[in-house]
Amino acid sequence: MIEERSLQRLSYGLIALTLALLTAALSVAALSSLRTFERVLEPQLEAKAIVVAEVIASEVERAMQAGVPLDRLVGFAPFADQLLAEHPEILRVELRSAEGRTLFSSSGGARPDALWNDDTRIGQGSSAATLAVAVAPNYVSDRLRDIQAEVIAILLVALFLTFEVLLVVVAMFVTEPVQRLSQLLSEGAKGYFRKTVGRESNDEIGRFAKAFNKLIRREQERYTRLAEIWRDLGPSETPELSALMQELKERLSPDSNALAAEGNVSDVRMPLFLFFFATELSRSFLPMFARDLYEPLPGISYEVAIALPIALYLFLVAILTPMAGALAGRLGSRRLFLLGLLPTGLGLLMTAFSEGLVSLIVWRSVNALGFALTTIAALDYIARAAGRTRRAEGMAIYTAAFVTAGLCGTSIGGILADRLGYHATFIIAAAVTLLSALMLLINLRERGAGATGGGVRLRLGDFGLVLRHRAFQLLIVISAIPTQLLTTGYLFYAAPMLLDEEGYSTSTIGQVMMVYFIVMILLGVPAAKLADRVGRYRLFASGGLLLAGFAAMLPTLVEGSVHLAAWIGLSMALVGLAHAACIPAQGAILLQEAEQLGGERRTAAISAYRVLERVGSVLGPLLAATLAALYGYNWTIGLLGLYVLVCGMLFAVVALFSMRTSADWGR
Amino acid sequence: MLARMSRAILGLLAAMLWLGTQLPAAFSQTDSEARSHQVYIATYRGCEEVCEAFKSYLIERGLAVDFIERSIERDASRIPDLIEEVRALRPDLLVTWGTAISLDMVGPYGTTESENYITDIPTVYLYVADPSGAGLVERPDISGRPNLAGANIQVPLEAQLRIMQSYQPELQRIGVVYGANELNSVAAVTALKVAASSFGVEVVEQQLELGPDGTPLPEAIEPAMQAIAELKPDFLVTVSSTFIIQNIKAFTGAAVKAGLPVFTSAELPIREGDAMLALYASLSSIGQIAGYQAEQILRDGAIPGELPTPSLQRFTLLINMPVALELERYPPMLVLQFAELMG
Repeated sequence: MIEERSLQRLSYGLIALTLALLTAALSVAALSSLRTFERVLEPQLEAKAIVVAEVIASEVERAMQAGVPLDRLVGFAPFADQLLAEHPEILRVELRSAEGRTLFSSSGGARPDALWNDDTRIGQGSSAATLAVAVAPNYVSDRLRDIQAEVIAILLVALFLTFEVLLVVVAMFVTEPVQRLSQLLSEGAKGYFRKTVGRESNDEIGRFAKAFNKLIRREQERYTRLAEIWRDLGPSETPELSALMQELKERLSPDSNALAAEGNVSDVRMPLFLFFFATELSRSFLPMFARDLYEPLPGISYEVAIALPIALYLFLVAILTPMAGALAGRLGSRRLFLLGLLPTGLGLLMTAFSEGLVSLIVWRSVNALGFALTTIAALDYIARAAGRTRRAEGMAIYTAAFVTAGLCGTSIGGILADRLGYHATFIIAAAVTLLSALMLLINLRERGAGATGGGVRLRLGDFGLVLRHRAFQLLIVISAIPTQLLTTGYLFYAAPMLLDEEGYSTSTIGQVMMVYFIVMILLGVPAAKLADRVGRYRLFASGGLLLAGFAAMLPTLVEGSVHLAAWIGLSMALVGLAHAACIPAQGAILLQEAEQLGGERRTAAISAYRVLERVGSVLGPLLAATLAALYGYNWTIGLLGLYVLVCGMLFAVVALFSMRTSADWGR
Repeated sequence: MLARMSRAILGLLAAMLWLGTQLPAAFSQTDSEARSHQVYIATYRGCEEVCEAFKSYLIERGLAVDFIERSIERDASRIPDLIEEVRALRPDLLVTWGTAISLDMVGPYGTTESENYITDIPTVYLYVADPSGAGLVERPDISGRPNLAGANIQVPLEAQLRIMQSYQPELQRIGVVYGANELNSVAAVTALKVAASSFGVEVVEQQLELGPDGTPLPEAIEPAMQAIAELKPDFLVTVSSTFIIQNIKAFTGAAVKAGLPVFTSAELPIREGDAMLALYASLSSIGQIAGYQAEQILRDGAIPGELPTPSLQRFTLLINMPVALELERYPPMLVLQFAELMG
């Protein structure tokens, strides 16, 4: 039998090799194209600088011809500044007398390493002068560095996309059939030959599966013939022989259910990824989009109004998700998934044509419905396909699809918005949704509805159960809500607004936000494993909160820095690290507390908790917008950080206290 | 999306309506184009630059026009003969050049049917500096008279102040010298004060001494200039005044002598006098904007009294370099790049 782990190692090895090759190839291509840029652009820039100098010189000459003495020129600096404003690579212009004395200059200073050109002459004789221009030496490479950041972002996205596709392909064509084969072989070793391999693809593994199936079928046919002969012989007098036939039947008769019950988690992965990708494309600019569409709403302040499309969306997702759960059992996950893609695609498409805040809010709400339906359908499908034993792995696939899509969607969305505008990006998102639906139609086979059950239905009483329980209260109020609030208030709202205010492009904003997702991808699984091994969930939960709070205060601490985007990127990375530590820990504590709760409402209590913690995500943008009106975005972020920091301290104190009383550090 | 669709449908309806109104006109137009439009132009001293610009505008716009040109040769007593001829010819359009001919041929605002004036033939006034101030029309934005249309050719005060500010970034004070006997001058000074206050600019004034006949004495110009120079204005601004125009050489010369640069929004003070800086409507643009009004009447059959009075948007900036050099008020380079230079 093939060891499952070694198989996984093999496929990861393959993927790693592919990724390494791809990285190398893309890097070389990107670098060499940048070099070409530089070689072509540098001489052009010098030529342009000389043209600008000549334009200035001709105006100076005109003034002189009109009788204005050279040393009495009026308003040279504002005139030169106005021209240079359109040519940022020219740092300074100086009008020099025949003796080389600087008479007039533009107001900007030249760097010591600037390249001077003083070939432009004005007038003749005693009133002769020269015009000298200073050009920034590394202008092209500086500008290219900006482009490089974009290239790197695209490279990363390409890598993660490749990784995603490879994982799915390897899972579909290698891992899953081989796992199935090895499972059947081990059954065969015990003498059972009832099931065949489902997928007979046209490759080595597929041919092997085909041969294996042929073998099994031949044995099964032999048994069938034997059974027919046995039946024709009539009732047997020998009990040993009857028992033997019965045993043969159990071992060799074809199991028709076996095929249908098999489901592959990876079938849903690509459509799910595409769906998340479509919804994430607008992540980096949604707050600015809402701001641009602002129209007065009765009784609602400006700040709350522009945060409303985001907050209301999160609110609707929170309340619609439990309701959608009931539908999953009735419709089946595939149909529900497709049903969910309908409002998603429609919502995204119509958002592109929104002409005011009200229509934006309406279409975002339609999107929220789509999100609730689709995610519930995906979770339901994964739960059924993975079965009880591999549920954690199934959840990991769901989370990975979400986070990878967050990374790819945020950065690509930013770049698209920069190049094509907000509206076009929404239209593209709608097209991606359509693609997801197509993949779903091709790929996903319908499972029998209601086989594993959609879980316990949520009742209002469950919320009371959760809210009455002291440990739940603490976990929700000073741990889960601050975590969610920081994510939606700072990462997804205040950060893009601040960066936009400071003049950064949407593509830079997307890149900065991408950092959070990268850290989550890289550290999410290791951090969760570490927390499991150390076992001190409360330590991880409070430590994560403290780090997240501190990280969020960083941009305020360095207020006025010219490298604001870099600082926010660092802050995002640290928040990502903190969340990687504290979110799984919160989940573990939740399970422990639910365990203690016992009873049949345990699962329902967990669901109720999940709904309640969304209060934080709904409050996030609203709180951030309200604070920003009073203190500006930079201080808002600092205040949110401070709030999370205080919650972290409280949580640590409570954890210490409970450790002393119950001698439990969350082990 | 719904809003967009409904807008598109509205647009379509509007387009159909427009076609509905335009089609009959288009058919009738072929009739009228078979026959040339008769345009009667009454001028003061022949068809000069403004009149020529008016004519070429109509020709360039493809209108078939027969021009009937009449000049009074600077003799106002000839006007009644012109009125009689217009009555007899009944042209499609009457064009009156300048304030005096316009007032004498169509009468002041409020004139109804009258023996002495043309009130039933479409008329466009041409080159009238201040039609509402002169009492030709009801309001600056519409003539208020069924048969009369024209255009505003003054430079807005805001544009004048902006140019002075560009020339002198620390503009603080501007001066005016005028005679209190001319009501249009008094009104112009008041308007200038209002506009200047929004720029944070102070207006200082000096009135010309009046003679026994109630009009300023030419010899009062120089002392008035000396007096206002004491207040150190950055520019001396000319206001609408018959006296100043009649004495433009002496007026601007006295200013230069007192060390004051003169800013003007008319062409005459800089061409004929020694004003240093002028922002004015060029003669050809004055002719063209009147031509635009005439075109709507002739081609589209618009009723003159229903046409809103348009204003000129582009003006000529002219610097009198000899004066600027004499006063050592060199033009800043930002102004220089848009300016025409004289001398």
